[in-house]
Amino acid sequence: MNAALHRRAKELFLDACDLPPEERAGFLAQRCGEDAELRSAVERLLAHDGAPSVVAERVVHEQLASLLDEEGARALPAEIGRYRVLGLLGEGGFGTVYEAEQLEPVRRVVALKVLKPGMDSRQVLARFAAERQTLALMSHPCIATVLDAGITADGRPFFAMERVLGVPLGRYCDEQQLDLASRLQLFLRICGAVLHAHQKGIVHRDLKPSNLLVATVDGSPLPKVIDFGIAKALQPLEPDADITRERGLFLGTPEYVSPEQAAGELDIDTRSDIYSLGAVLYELLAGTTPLERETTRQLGLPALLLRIQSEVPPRPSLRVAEESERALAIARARRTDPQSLARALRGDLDWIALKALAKERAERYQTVSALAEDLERYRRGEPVLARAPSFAYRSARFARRNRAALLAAAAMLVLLLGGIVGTSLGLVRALRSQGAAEEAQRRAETFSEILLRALASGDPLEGGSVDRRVSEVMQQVVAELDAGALRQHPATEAEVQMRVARTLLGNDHPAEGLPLAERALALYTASGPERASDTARARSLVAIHLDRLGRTSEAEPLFRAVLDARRAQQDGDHPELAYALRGLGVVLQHRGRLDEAEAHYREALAMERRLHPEDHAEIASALNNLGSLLQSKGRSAEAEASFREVLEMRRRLRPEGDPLTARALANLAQSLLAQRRTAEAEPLAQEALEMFRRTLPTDHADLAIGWTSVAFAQQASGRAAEAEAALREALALYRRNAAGDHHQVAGALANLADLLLGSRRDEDAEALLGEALAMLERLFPQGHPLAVRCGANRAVALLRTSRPEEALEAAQRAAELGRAILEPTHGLRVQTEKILAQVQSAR
Amino acid sequence: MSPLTPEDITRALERAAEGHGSAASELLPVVYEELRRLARSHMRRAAPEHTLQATALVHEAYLKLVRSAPEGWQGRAHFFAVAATAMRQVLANHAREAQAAKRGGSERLRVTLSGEIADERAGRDFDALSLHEALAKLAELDPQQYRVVELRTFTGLSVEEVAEVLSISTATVKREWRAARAWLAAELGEPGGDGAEPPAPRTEA
Repeated sequence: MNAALHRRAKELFLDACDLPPEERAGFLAQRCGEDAELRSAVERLLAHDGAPSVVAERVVHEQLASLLDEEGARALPAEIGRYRVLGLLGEGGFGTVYEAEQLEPVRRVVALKVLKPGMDSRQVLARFAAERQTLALMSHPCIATVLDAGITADGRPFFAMERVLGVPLGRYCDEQQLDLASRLQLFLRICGAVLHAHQKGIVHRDLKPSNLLVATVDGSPLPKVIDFGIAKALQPLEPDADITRERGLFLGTPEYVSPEQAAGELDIDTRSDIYSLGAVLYELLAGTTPLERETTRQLGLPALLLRIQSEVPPRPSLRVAEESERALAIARARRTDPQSLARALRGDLDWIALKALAKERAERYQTVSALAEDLERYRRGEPVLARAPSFAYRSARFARRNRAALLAAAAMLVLLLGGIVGTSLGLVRALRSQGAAEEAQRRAETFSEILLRALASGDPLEGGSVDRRVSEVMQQVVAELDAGALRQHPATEAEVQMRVARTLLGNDHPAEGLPLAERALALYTASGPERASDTARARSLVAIHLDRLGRTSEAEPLFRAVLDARRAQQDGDHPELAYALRGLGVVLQHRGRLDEAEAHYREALAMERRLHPEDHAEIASALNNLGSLLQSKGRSAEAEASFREVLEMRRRLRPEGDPLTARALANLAQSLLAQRRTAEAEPLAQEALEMFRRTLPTDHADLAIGWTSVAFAQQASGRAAEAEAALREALALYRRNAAGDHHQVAGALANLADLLLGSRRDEDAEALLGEALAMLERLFPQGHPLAVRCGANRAVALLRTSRPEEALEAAQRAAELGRAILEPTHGLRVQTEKILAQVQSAR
Repeated sequence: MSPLTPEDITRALERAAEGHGSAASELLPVVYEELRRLARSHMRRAAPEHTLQATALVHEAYLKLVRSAPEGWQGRAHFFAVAATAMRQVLANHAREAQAAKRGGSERLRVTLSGEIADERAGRDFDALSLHEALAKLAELDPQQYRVVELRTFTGLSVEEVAEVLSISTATVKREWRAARAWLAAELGEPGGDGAEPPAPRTEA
């Protein structure tokens, strides 16, 4: 608007404003004519004539009040109580902090925190006095003690405390450009201080960076937690939750206050501090508070409370992943770049921070030491206890132990690569139930808690180790369950049964786990429709056991039932449904119904991609399923593409490498070998072996996957002797881990026999296959696809060693078994029939 | 800032009276320091529940300054003209600082003990900034109207006093004031009025 228009509008407004409203339109039409701009300007003024609030005065008065408020607070009194004021240290939300000198009984310099006017000073002092004895118990180098409290001449409460020369934690870290490791170290020292206070029964209630001051002492940072005891003293004596909520009297800082404290709940305990520590950790890592400061500051109280109580913050790694100036600055302050920072945070650190920030305090770390220990585990590169809200992490860790039944390079027969998925499914499933199991755990009596933990400790998939003593404990538990120890608690018994079954499955003992899983299924089925989800869980577990036992025809209907149940439980995409789709896909793949399996895998994969908009362990697993299937179909180039994506995703998820990434390398190598791209395959296989060695204990069975993969590459490039040595390493590893009959041992025997057949060492091969078949018959009395393969190959070996009658017998048995347990189109069955025909014609 | 001596004040007022271009900025520290001094003394006397009467304080400051005016000074008209501008600058600076402090993410407790909520505070700073922006705009569009607003708003002068300071009729002041209020309300997105003139809140000096 220009000045002339403004003035014209003003004149017309003044002429029109005293006219009766009904005459105004005519007046304006006459005076403004065609000038629509002028008319609208006048109408705008008329509309605001006599506006109810006189905004300018109001704003000016408010501003003056706030200005004077600040000035008044800044006024430097000469003395406060028996302290001589030396200077102003700072101003905070509470009030003003002065540097002051105490003259008696000892002469020392202290910090005096004088609170803003507006509260009942006597009550504050009374509450502080009540806390004083407790506060005096604290003695920790990282805690600044509150020494004294009093009332100023003008009636305001003040606290005298140890003067700390330091800057707020976040500022210190950014100014010093501390990297993640140094930040965590500093944070752990703060945890130590808070733990000390908690052990004395003191909750801070207002932990935030400005109460965590850091100074450089002797060249290293020394953190100090200040203000212990103050927040509690300021808390109303008899807080009324409703009034608190209504009037916004809650004490704390919106970005760091726990939901229960924000809601004005009465029983604030140490876990409230754990939440605040979580928020501090989050900001240290990602440079942003969990609930963004910019947005919390614009919310009204009800909206703010709602956010604090319900909004789950994004994972810290997502905060730094964006490409912006801000992300760049945050990363730079941590001596890295946004991509590397996001990678470093993704996973363990994400989950540790989010676990500490759980809305429900029962879901947080229960003690500061638990939080600190998890961070220490992270620093040592050990698995952390925190887990993602989804089951991604656990599944990744479970799948780590999957037995990759790698495709035999020998062109003769197809080994069941899909076997890997069966295992992984069991593990993924196990994981998922973890959440529910934990829920149950909380409710269960202490003994069952201890029991479950003891049982899980025997599961190498959960960071435990195969340990005879644990196995014995487990057998004892099973015996106790059989004796009816938990008969009164069917749900608990079912969970324990499933837990034991999963541990057995994790150790590749499906035959022993099956009865337990079946018992759990029976228990849940008996407890009616409200247990439908648990029933589906147990049914999946039974199906996985059956699949692993080669009883795929029994597994299939079970998985179909699970799938139907999941579809009935919830519309649309959900993780349980995606899981069930994959489970059925695995069974179908094992049954040789590859097209159906592919359809299920693709549906599951698409769903996982929708459920997880970015990299996710579940997407990688689903892709791996699809890759293995495409490999079985001989579509190696497509399999290669899938495995490459799996590999890349896992490398992003775990840049430091892990057994799952190693497995992806091995699978990719296999798909390249199938395309006769030996030169490309071998380095990948070597890298897989190297990564397995780096990330697993020396004797871990999964090292065998690495050896097998390398062996196949060497075999393909004609280095049979090296390949044989590698396969014998794999066999030895499986034998050491299995201590007896095991399908992995049988698989390793079969792989070695294939190699020997290729070198025309037919007699040696025949002996190995004989051993494998005997083992498989003991393991899988109802037959197993691997037995079909071994039988067919043994027939070839017998034929070559001029034993045609035995060859025919072996081929016929293999073909019969194939017809019994495999679909007519199954590659293995087709190949076996061809071998039978050859053996027959050779006679 | 060291306390201003009566000589400082006198000198500033003289320069303002002489019509120096920089008079407003000369007077600014005078007004500012006087306000600070008054605020501090009030805070010391104040009981915790005491609410500061901002308007009363401002007038106390003006009275003090006016009393310090040297003999032979041209009168309060000039003083108020300059003081209003100084006052506006003080508050504009204050609003900007508050806003900047917020952007800087300073660790202030936004949910305060007195039950005052952060967003109210934020809203106020926003209002203040908008007001100062609107006033700057008005100063360009219509200097006379702007002067009326400035004097009325930042010094709390009555219509008659404004008329005297600006050497215009009281009727003109009333008209300018009415139009300015409508304009400001529209600029600041205030809800519309009912056409009636509400009593202007002001304190009797």
